[in-house]
Amino acid sequence: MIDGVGNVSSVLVVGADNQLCLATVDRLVGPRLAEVYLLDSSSLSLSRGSKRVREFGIPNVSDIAYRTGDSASLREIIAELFAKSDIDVVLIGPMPHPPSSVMDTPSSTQMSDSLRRGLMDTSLLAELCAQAITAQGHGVLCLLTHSPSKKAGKRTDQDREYCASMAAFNLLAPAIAEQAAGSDCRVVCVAIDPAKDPHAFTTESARRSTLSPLDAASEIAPVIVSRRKRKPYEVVALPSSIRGAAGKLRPTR
Amino acid sequence: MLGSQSVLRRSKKHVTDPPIRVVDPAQPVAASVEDISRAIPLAPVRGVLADINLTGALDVSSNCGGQILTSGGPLADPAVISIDWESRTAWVAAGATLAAISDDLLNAGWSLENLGGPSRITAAGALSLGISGPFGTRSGSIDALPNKIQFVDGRGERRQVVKKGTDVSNLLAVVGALGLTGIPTAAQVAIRPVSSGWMLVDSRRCETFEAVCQALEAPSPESYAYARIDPTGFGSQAGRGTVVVGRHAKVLELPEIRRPDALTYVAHAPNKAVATLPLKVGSHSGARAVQGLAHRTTAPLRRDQLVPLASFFHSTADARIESKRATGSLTYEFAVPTHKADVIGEFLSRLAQLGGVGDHATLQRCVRSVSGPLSMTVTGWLFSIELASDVPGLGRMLDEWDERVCAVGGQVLLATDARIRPEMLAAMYPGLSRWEGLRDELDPGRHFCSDLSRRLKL
Repeated sequence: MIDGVGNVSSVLVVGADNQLCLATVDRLVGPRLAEVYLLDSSSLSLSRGSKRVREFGIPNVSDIAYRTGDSASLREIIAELFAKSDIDVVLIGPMPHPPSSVMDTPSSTQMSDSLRRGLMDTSLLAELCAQAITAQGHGVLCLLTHSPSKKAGKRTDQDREYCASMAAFNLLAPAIAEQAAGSDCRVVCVAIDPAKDPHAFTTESARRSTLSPLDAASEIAPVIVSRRKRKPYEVVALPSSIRGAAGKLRPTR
Repeated sequence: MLGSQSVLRRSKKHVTDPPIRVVDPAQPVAASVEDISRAIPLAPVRGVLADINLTGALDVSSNCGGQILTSGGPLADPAVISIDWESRTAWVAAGATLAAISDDLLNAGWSLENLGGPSRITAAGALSLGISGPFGTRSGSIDALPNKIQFVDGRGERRQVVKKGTDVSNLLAVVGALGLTGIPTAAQVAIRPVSSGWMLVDSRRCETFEAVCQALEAPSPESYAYARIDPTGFGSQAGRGTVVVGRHAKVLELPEIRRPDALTYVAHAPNKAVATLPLKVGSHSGARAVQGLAHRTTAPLRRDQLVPLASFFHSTADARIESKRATGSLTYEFAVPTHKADVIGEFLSRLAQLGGVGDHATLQRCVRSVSGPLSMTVTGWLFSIELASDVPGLGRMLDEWDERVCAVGGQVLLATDARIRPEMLAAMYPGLSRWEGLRDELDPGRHFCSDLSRRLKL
């Protein structure tokens, strides 16, 4: 469990290639962080993510692949993970649909595939993780979502399916939080402005005015590990400052 | 049943009532020893832990995802089962709080010999954590240990351990075993006669750490001493504080208005705002200003101040619990040998450099002639401080300090620990393997678990 000074011993990341999730793991790295589990449906994302996490100096990194839409195997994976050891923090960050990927099933469209991947699987995983941390009696579930915005998806260079999934995930977050009902369990919903999410854009030029993952992680990590009296469900809006919202914050590391 | 004289509870009006036990309705309550025996083998996967009435405040008293077994009914009430006047011992219910036990004992003109820690902790908790209060002439001696303890082990079997003269090895299976070897149900503890529920307290403000140590090294007989340290002192003033020496007041020493109610138990009600103020201020400079002001406005010398027994013995521990609940602070408590007292001053200087905020810092002497495998074995100085947990770099600093304390032959106390690394345990506690042997014997199925045992892989 998260110790008295906020040291985390194990983290589960759903969305192995999500830059915000990986940056948050980087911020959580401490002397006790010994185990990181990466969960993704894409083997490419898993290998990229695990390479990155190993660079942080974490000794044990486990990659676990799951099949999209297979709820039975998802249940099995989560049950096995939590049976093996306690998991202190679960970071869930849906990933955008890869632009040139093959559809999971011949009948699916890009939109339906993206929604299934980004929303159905992720919300099921979030729910399973919430139940698992309730059973273990402690833990923080951190959900990366989009804050509801009228402007979301209106720009042509934005990934509309991804933005729709993230906004829907935001709406589902309170319901997921209800599943995590232990005294030492918390759910942190990170509501990112869609215009500032680096994953929401398809062009490199548009990504330049988005949040730096490390700056965002610096806001998220203290909320996760804080021992101060916190509510069981918290929302962290990003960017949190006017300066950040104006796009003047650039990667500083 | 167990003693020679039963104690009847007298109905009387309390000045303030003792703290009430808060029982989680979702957790089971054992009303008898048989209930405990039945519950232990049926414990869930994440184990069972005796409720010591501090759930959530300490890792040693919490069992996330597991079961907390509350002792109720005759296991908690009456708090004092019987008093043996000749041997100066009393059988107490392990599920009763120290406040309730003190209340009942005071009615009959007695007080616990070894009194300290939070007032709301149960007798079972005080035994399991090996809690001791301010340093007194009998602190750490065999006399301060209970004579007999009845408990239920990990197999669900009833056991009784007895102190045989100077042989206390049996008792140490329970005392200071962190609640991982059994659930105490009753204990025969040492008591002392008192004629009032008040303490006469002398306090002296000292501007240097050396002056504090000197004042604590010269205790008067039949008195208890500790020092409240100002954590904001730096340079030559690092470790400055106020030395507090208290002794039980005789009834004739009380003002006449208090004499009719001399044996009334006055419960300690911590002022939550004051107890949590420095840590709630948040900023290092703000907290320093508050604490520096508190030290400077303390009277340089005060004699024969009347303080209720509960306030003297429990106020600091109660304030720490309030602080934990309100601000999520953590306790850092370590003991160093007598000739290494300078480590404490260095710690405070290092904390000031880091910008750490501390509160409720205390220093007292500690003498250990006997102790359990996971209890403090150091004879020297015991320093405790409550720290704000969200100070950047605090974790690394405390890790370094663990190594420093260990290198000088000291120990970080496990009863209040919230963060020590498991690999430090074997170096600090040479009795660890002995304890593991005891645990294999008493709880082979590992039914007793706590957050501390999981974190330290005990």
